[in-house]
Amino acid sequence: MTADQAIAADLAEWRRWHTAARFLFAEAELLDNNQLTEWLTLLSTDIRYVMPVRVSVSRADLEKGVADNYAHYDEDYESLAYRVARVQQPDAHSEAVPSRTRRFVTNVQVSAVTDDRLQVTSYLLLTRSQSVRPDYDQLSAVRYDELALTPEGPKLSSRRIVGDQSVLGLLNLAVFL
Amino acid sequence: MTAPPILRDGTRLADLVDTDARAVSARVLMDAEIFAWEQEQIWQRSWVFVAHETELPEPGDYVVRRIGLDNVIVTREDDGSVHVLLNVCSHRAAELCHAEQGSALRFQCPYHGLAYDRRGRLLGAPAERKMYPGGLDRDTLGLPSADVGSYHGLVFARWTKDGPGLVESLGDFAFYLDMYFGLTAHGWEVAGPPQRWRIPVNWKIPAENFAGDAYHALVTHRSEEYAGRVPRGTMMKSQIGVAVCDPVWGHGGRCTSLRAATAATPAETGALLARLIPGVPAALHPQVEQNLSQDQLELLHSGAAPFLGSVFPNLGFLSASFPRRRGDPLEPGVTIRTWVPLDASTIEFMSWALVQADADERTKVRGRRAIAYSFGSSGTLEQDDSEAWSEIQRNVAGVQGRRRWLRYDSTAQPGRLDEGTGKKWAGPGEIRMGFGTDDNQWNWWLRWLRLMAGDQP
Repeated sequence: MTADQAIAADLAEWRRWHTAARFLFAEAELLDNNQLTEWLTLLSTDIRYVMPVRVSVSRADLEKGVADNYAHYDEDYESLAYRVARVQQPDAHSEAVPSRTRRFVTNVQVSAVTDDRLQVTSYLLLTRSQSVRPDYDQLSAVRYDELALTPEGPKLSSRRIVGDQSVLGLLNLAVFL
Repeated sequence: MTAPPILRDGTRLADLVDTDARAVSARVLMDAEIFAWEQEQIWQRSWVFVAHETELPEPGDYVVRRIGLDNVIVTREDDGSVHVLLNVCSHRAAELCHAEQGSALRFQCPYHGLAYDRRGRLLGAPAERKMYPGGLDRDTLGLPSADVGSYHGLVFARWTKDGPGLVESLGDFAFYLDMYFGLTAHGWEVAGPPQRWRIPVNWKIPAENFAGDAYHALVTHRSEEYAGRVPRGTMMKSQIGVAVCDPVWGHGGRCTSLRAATAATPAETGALLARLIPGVPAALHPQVEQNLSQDQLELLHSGAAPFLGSVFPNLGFLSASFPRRRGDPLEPGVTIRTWVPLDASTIEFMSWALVQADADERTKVRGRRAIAYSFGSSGTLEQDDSEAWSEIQRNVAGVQGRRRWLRYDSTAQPGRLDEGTGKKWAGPGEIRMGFGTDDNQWNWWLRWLRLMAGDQP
């Protein structure tokens, strides 16, 4: 590999990372700003969106620590779109007074690339402030995403959210991760 | 009477439940002294749901659960029997099992190393002859084990060794549990481990809600109508049904109403069962005819089946059939849940998806997805319940708030005759047809009061 080729490869890698990070940061901003309908436009209509139940197991059983047969979220585009529509109803009590959320997205890595897909891993720390209580509900997770690179820009075509808590500290999951 | 009937400030327990006005003092939701009484009167003396049999498919499998505040190991022996052991070493009170599930043939304490078998018998201690030249007293050092009972896959445990057996304690409600959990040869299995999350609410609020609070759906869940997943009027329709309860044991639930027509042909029966027993594939319907009694089948063929209930003290069950979005086919989902009291103001909510063990894989996958969509941590219905419940808990923390009363004054006379169809209800228990009332929840509270006063049942 010539020096020019090496630079080109670095640049391509950096561009992919930048594409992924920019997408995730912009997505977090939409969710934190309660722009849920706009958030839906970032999703591919064939999305799979799953947050498996986490189990506290011994080291020998680690592969059983992420359930493959029950989930907090087990969604497709239709169900996500419905959740977005419902939670914005004035009588959707869980978010009638919307919680103030902040999604801290870090540790972004592009793990695999095909012509039109990026496999992206990121860490998420969600803080959720509800009502007049000063304490936060928090949730930390790793997300395994697939981004489809389309002419309209990247779309989230798959997300697997692996939370760290086996017992969630949130009143409910009326928020997207 | 084993419970002190008077609280430290002089209030009598009986004064906290106004049986004339059918009201409960809000104080019972937040008072730490009452919570401490409950540890003795409720959680030692009741059959408490701890696990589903299918969470322990193999000998050696275990899950760690709670009965009241006590941490217990639920484990399966080689002979298939299930044992419930205090997860506390008899030596210095260290915890034996840290993982919430796993497989182990014995449990060794990580502190000084005493080891126990799956019946809680002490196997030995490290360097036992040097440390205890006189020998360890194996009889007194075993782990306390609760009595265990199992009903259609539901495993219950109770600490007190005397008192009514599990089936007796289920009372007339067992008939309806049969119609829900005992439909097929291999019954329900858990889809996977439970969702677990914390809600700042007293455990009695969700427990009495599941005994038959249809009323709250009108407003709490009306966003489902406004967002268009279900037609307008669905929540009002859901008020009409049949409340069934056993007022002696405090269990209660709701069934669908009797219909004018009785299913007679196989096609009619098939269509009816598809609606009444969601999650049970048509291929298993012949088993239903074999497993249920004549009275139970008469109810089913007339359109009546349980779809929700609360088994005292803290087991709930529910079936839900909603579309993915408006106009889509109904997707049936089934759940059991328990509300584990952590303190007077906090529960851990545990919610399992159930699927028929003999269903095809596709049906199982759809079932667990459907229930997580509507009920559980992210459920579009249940997330609004958790909001209302946590607000109740905040409200009763205040002096004025806790002096208020929780009201259960909507009531109807029990009756077995359905005036619309002229049919008579074929099941046992106290039956109320039509618009939902507070009677089931009130009966739940009366059982709570009796147990708290030291009476049984």
